[in-house]
Formats: sequence, C-alpha cells, structure tokens
Amino acid sequence: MRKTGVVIAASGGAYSGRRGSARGWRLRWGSSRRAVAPEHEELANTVRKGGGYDLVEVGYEGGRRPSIASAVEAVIRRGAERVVVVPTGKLNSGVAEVVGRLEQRHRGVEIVHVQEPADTTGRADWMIRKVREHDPDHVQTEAYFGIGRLAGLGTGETAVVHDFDAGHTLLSRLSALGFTPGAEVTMLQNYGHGPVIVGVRNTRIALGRGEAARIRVRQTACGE
Amino acid sequence: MALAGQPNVGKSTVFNLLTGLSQHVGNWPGKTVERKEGTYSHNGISVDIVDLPGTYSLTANSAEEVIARDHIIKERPDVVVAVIDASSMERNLYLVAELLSLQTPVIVAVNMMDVADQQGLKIEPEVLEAALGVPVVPMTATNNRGIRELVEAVDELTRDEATYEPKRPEIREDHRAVLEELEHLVAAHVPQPYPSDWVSLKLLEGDDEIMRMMEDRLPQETWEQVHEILKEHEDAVLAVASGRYDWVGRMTRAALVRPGVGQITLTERLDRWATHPLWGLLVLAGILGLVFLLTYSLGAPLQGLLETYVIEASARLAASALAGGPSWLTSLIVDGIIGGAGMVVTFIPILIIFFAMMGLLEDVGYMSRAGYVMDRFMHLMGLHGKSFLPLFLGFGCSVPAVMGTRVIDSRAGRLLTTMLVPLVPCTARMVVLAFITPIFFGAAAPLVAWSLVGLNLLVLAVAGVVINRIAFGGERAAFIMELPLYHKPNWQTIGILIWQRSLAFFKRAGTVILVVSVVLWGLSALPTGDIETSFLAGAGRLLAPLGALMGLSWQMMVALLTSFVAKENAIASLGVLYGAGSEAGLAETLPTIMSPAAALSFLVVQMLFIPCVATVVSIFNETKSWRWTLFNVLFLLLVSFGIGILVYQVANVVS
Repeated sequence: MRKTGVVIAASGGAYSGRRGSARGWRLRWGSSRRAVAPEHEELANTVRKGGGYDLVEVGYEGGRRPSIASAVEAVIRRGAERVVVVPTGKLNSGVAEVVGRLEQRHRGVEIVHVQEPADTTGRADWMIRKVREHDPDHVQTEAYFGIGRLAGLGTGETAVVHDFDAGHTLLSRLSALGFTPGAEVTMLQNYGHGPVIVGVRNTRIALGRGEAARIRVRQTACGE
Repeated sequence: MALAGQPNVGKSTVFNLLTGLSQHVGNWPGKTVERKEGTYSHNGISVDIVDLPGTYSLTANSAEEVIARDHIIKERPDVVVAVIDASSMERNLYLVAELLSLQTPVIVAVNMMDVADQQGLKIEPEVLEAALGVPVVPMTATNNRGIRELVEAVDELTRDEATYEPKRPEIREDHRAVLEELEHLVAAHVPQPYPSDWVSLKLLEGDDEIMRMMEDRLPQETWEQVHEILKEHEDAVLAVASGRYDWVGRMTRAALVRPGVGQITLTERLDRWATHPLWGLLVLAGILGLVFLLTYSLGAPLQGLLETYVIEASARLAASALAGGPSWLTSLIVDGIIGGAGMVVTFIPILIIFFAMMGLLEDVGYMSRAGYVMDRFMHLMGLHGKSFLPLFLGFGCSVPAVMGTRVIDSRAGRLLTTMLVPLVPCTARMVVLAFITPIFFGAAAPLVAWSLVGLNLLVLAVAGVVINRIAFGGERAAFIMELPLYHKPNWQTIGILIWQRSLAFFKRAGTVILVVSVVLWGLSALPTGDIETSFLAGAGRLLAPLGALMGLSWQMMVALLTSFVAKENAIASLGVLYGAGSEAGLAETLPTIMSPAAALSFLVVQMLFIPCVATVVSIFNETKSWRWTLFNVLFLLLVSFGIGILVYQVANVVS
C-alpha cells in the first residue's frame, strides 16, 4: 500500500502577471508571504480529519506562496509515495505543467492531477449532481453527463450516442448504420491509435479514429 | 421483382440460388455499378429478378443508393424483396423502413436464420409479419432453405395486392409538423412518379439529389421558403433516422428474443487475433504469403502444361494447316493472334487460383479485417482500409483490380486507388521478373526479385502521398466499414465471383488485346516482313538514345513497347529480336549481350512501366476521364524511365 498525500491546489488571486504595473507589483508583493489563507487552512483540516489523511498541504498557483510545487515537495519529503493534487475551483491551465515537471523529478512517486470541472459541461454536471441530491423527484433528463467522444472510450466500455460533430454526408451515413442519438454503442477495440471497432445495434463497425472522434457519447454507468 | 438488401446479408447467395446461371451481368446505364438480372422459373411460375446494389439506406450518399431507389421508383417492380440478416435485424430493418415509405409492395426475407440460431437469437417470423404488416419469409440461403417459400410469397402477393397493409414508420414527433408544412409546399410540383410524401421526407433528410431536383421544379419563391425551413431544421436527418429506429425497435421487441450477454462468439475470438495491431499484421502477412505460395506453386506447372499442350500445339496445327497459303497469313495467325492473345490464355490457371483464394477470403469475411489492419498504412497515402482489397487484387491482374475500386465510397479515393493499381506488380510482370532474374543474378535472384517488388510498393506509397497532396489537397474520406460475422464459405458465391473476375479479364483479352496484338504484329512485319527492318524496330531505334541512358538496346526498348499489349510479351519479343528462338535459347543469349546493370534497369523499368492496354481501357471505363487515364500513362512513363536511368547510372558506378 502506498502512502497517499493530498495537495489542495488553490487559486492565487487575480495576479495579472503584468510586470511593472502598480496592481501587479502590489499583488506580487502582497501574496509572496509564505502564509496559507485561513479558509484554505480550514479546508485542509477538514480533509485531514474527514478523509483520514495526515499529509495534506495547500499550494497556490500563479506566483503566490507556498506554490503547488513546494506543497507537493513537502508531502513527498514527509513520506508520501502517491500525491493527489485536487483543485478548489477553476484554475489556470499551468497546473498540469507543474505536475508534469514534478513527475519528472520524483520518478518513484505517483502524482495524480485531478482535473477540475473547468469547462461549462463539467461544472454543469457537478451542479446537476448537487441539485439532484436534494431533489428526489427529479426526472431522468438527458442532461450533460459524462459526455465524451466515442474515440475516447476504452475497449469494453459502453455508452450511448449523444450527438454528432459532423457534416451532413457523414451524419447521414452514420445514422444509416445505426448511430443515432440514444443508440447504445460498445467499444470492441481501441488501442489508443489507429481505427477502432465499435459494436452498434448488433453489428461490428470499423471506424476511422477521426470519424469516431466526431461522435459524442455519454457514459451509461453513472447517473442514468 | 427487385432484390434489395444491405451489404453482407447473403443477398447475392439468394440471387444466385434463384437465378442459377440464367443471370446476365451488365452495368447500370451511365454508371460503373454492376447490374445483375436473371429469371427464376419453376412449376409454371416465372419471375424476372433484378439484383439491386447492396445499400445501407436509400439516401443519395453513393451511386448504389441512387440506383436502388431510382429502380424502385421509376421502373416499378411488382415486388421488392428485402433480404435481411437475422443476426442483426435492428440495423437491417432500417432499410426496410426506407423501402416501406415507397409505394411498391415489400416482402421481407429473413436470411441467415442459422447464424441467428447459433448466437442464441430466437426469431418469430409470424410475430414480425404481424408487426410489419408485410409477408415475412425465414430463410437460410446457404443451405437452400426458404427459397421456395419466398417465391410462393412473391406469387401470392402479386396476385392479391389488396391484403397488403404495411405499418409504415413515422418521423419523430417534434418534426412532424415541419414535414407536413414541407409536403404542403412541394406537393403540387413533385414530378411523376415520385411520391410527394417521400420527396418531402428526403428533403428533410438533406438528400442532395432530391434537393437539386426540387430546386429545378419549384418556383423561385417557394424554393426559398423550402430552403428556409430546411436551414432551420438542419438536424432533421437525425429525427428521421431516430423515427425509423424507434419503429424498428417496436417491430423487433416482440419478434426477437436476445440471449444473455457475455457470450463470446466465434467472431470475437477470431478478431482478437485478426484485428490486433500487431498480430493482425502477422496474420495478414501469413495469409497473403500462403495465397502467393499456393497461387504460384499450383499455377505455374498448370501454366507450363497449357503453354505446351494448348498454345504451342495449336500454333503448330495452324502452321501446318496453313502450310500451303501465303507465309504472311501463317505469321499473322501464329505469331499475331495465337502468340498474342494465346499467351493471355496461359494465365487462366494462375488467375483462377488467385481469385479463388481472394474470393474465399472475402466470402468468409476476412477481407474487411485485412482492410481494417491496413487502414493506418493506407492513411499515409490519404486512402483508407477499403482501398486495400482492390490494390491487393492487383497482384493477380490490374483489370479486376481497377474494377474493384468501386467499393470505395469517395470519388477522390477511387481515383487515387485507380492511379496506384498499375504499380502493384501483376502476375504477368512477375513472370518476366521470374524469368530474367535467375539468368543474371544466380543465387541472389530471389533477393533481387523481392527488392524489385519492394521498390514497386515503395514507389506506390510515395506516389500515393504525392498525388494525394497535389490533386486532392491531402483530403481523406471517412472510413466506415462493417465487419461482418465470419461464416462458412458459400462455394456458389465464390464460384460466381471467380467467374465474373476472370471473365472481366478475358473479355479484354478477347477484344482489346487481340486487336492490339494484331496491330503490333503488323508493325513488326511491315514493310519488309523482317522484324529487324520493320516499323517497330524503327521505333525502337528512334528511342535508342533514351534507352542508352538506361543501358537498354533498341531491342529492349521494343520489348518494352510490346509489353504494352501484355506484360509477358516482353520475353517473347526479346526472343524474336535476338533470334534466340525458344526461351531456353534466350536464357543463354541474354548474358552475352547485356550487363547485369542493364538487366537490372530493364527489370526496374518493366516493373514500373505503363500498364498494359487492357488496364488502360479499364481505367478509362472506370474513371470516364481521358485526363486521368492519360495522366496515369504519362506519370508511369516518367517514373519508370526516371528510376531506370537512376538505377543504371548508380549500378554502373558501383560495379
């Protein structure tokens, strides 16, 4: 069993990065104090107690200290063999890069970067899930839920066709072969490159990767 | 009666069973799509049958689909029999849903009941019949079951059409009002014999052909209104398709009982190997290696026998029969006709064996897997997996290979594949290769031969990339292909496939090659009767300076020219021009007058040279474009001479 550390990645404020501007300087100056904001300290404590993790640190993106990188370094120093980086909300896109660099440095440690629900679909999914928790009478709607591309399904996974990102000719051919919204599709073979084989309406169809990426599907396992 | 159905449902088997050898194969007018017709007669019932091309739907996505629906609408068959695959009823009934929205009565033939049985699917034809409101006949065409019942159902329906009450599918509810509005707008202008509800539906589906037709017919103002509606409902095609699948769902719910999941079928087991990115390639290489091994090890001795006992014997017979006549007549018949077209006949065994194995691989369902595995390589040339089959057929003969490009959906892909087919070394080129390499290269001969084949494939790949970039802007058509279930081969289907492909070759051999070999004979005999001083030799001498760059004598250039008629002519011409008489004599003479470097360059040019006349004619027939045909010839001329010069100069420097 690997010891798991948690890094809560928080936004470092609206630092614009414009070197020399008054606002930029002040923020840069003000936020370089090595201190964790009280609300994040409380968050970290709750995760420590609620989740039973003793290695929990907070790190900020965008210049404010302590940085995400230093927080990760800290939990590794204290013995973490796996680090899960979880975002508090929408962050700038640099986090993945930071995590990538840390992975290079600490080869033995598994560093997982939990993608934040940054895009509208992801945030809406989260909101719908929350609303439904309080709404036992909710109707099963075709809400945005776990929507991905057919090409992204792994071998053996099943999903339902949602819609298409395709021109008229391709659309018409796909629908004649059984790819219509609501049709269940099973990925029979996907090696991550090259064409895929998909089972739809009891037939096996070989699709180019490009074509498979034009079919949007939603996963059936959760939610519905 | 017309036979309709999706691809891979055993429609040809049903057609072959019904018509036997009474079938007549031609092309649909103005199209390069095969039109098969035949007659069934038994017990006083006689039915004329047209086999419609296999299509997934009836929307104008391809020539096949337009042909199928035009036939039903315009030529009004009494009955359309829709052949469907019992093991994938859902998708197959989609076409039935489309057929039902036309006026012609439909009978549904549920074929491959045995396959469904093996999969544990339970189908109740009576229930399906009640649900559809049209006659349903269960069949297993591979075992000849259900054919008689089908004919009886056709006979009954044509006698008494009053009982025919199909339950037609409807568009999804949210688009019903739009459809009505459309129909109201266009109804008065729909030309005979198109049903106006069908035309409105196709407009809503965005069918290009129907759009064009109605744009011509409708008054400007109305068309604009229609256009506005269509623009607003661009996604209607999904509503129509969903409506049909809802209908299909209702139809099959009662009639079809599915087995529990988790059952691993034979197809799944085989596909784990056959479609794996690495094992799949090895399986493919193994199978193709076997195809070649069998073709040549079985075909070559038969070819030798035919040559000795048929061609040479008939040449002797003709010579002795004409002994009293003028010598030019003997020469015309023996050298011109028997020598030219007769040589072609000796390819019968090799071609038949090759086509038999290809037919077997296609019929059991393997060829689509080969296309799938090769897709990523085809990708590089802007082609996709479907181009693999025609290109591979090219190892047999370029003529059926060029005709085989019909399976490719896009015109760009079809053209590009056609342009590349002549670069696949056909059996005739391989014969020349196999004859010359041992003479010059001894133990290294197989290595040289395989390198030359490799060179051809390399040139093919590069040419593919370049032509695609320049002519088609690097565009690539969608790769969508059904992988049918593996099944037992049907010998009749394979037999007919061999017959049709070989026939395509022999028709050309019998006409074009015959004419051209007589003309060529004329050029080699006129004006003096001696080939050394003939027009042909003159042409060869004229080309000698060009030949010198490749180390080729004028005789070699003439040999190349004559290979335009048929590739294997190159050997015969060399034999005549060097006065060697037999092939064995030529094998002794050649090394004394040719350096290995020149021999190598001759082989390179011969392997890459312009296709034979039969292929050129096929390319024109398929592309219907002189520009592309001419481009292909000039392109290959340039490539073969260019690489020939390069090889000769480099070989000279090295040695």
